[in-house]
Amino acid sequence: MKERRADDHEPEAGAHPAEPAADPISIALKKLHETVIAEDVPEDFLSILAEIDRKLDTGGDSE
Amino acid sequence: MTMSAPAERPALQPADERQFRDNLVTIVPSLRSFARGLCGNRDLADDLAQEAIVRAWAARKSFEPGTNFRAWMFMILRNQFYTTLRKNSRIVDWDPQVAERTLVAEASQEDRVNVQDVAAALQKLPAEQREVLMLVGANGVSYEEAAVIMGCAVGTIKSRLARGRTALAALISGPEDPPTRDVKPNSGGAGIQSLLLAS
Repeated sequence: MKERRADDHEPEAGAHPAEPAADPISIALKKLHETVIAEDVPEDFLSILAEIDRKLDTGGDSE
Repeated sequence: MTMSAPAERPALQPADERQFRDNLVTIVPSLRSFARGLCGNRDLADDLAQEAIVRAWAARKSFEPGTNFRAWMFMILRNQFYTTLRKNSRIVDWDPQVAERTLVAEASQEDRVNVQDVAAALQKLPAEQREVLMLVGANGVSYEEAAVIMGCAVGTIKSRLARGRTALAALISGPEDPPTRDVKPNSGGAGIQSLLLAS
């Protein structure tokens, strides 16, 4: 399974916009973030999500 | 956004649980990024992010659909980070000598800043500055959302951010490299699957 992106979060209503990436520090922080975002999701995460899927499919975790 | 006791809420409908699961899938990269910024260590960060996912799933009935899922998840991860920090003496939050040096260093920014330098310098800051830099500066979280996640006022977020930026710039442009802190992977990550199975 390939990576999933989480860039679709809308700001909260009335919230100020996030920091503009105008200065070198901001740009570097954004790049740092994008580097991790671009990585494939490790197998351990996929196993946890698969376990959740299994519970959902079997109803084994519902109350 | 609240995290009230699960017993006070009705069981999630199957469609809500599917949506919750989809939200978890979507948030994984951002969680990993936030955790990496907090820990500075890939393995420990992934342990934290995985544990946050497991805990979120176990506590899914306390999440109010329609509220800010990302902030809720970051709160869980952040709580987990500080819990780990308290329990694990191998993780040192910050080095007072670095803080002292930061206070006297001249803050200046070059036109281009090496990302790896920023990653290394980030780990020399106090956690409260590190997390606000990662939330607002890296993840693009608003001041208001960061205030919810960190449980403080918007003004506090702004001041921590300003101090964090200044300290980061000072560390990057400083004359010498302070000693690297000892941050090692969390050996407690092996219990994540069992936590999930027990949820």
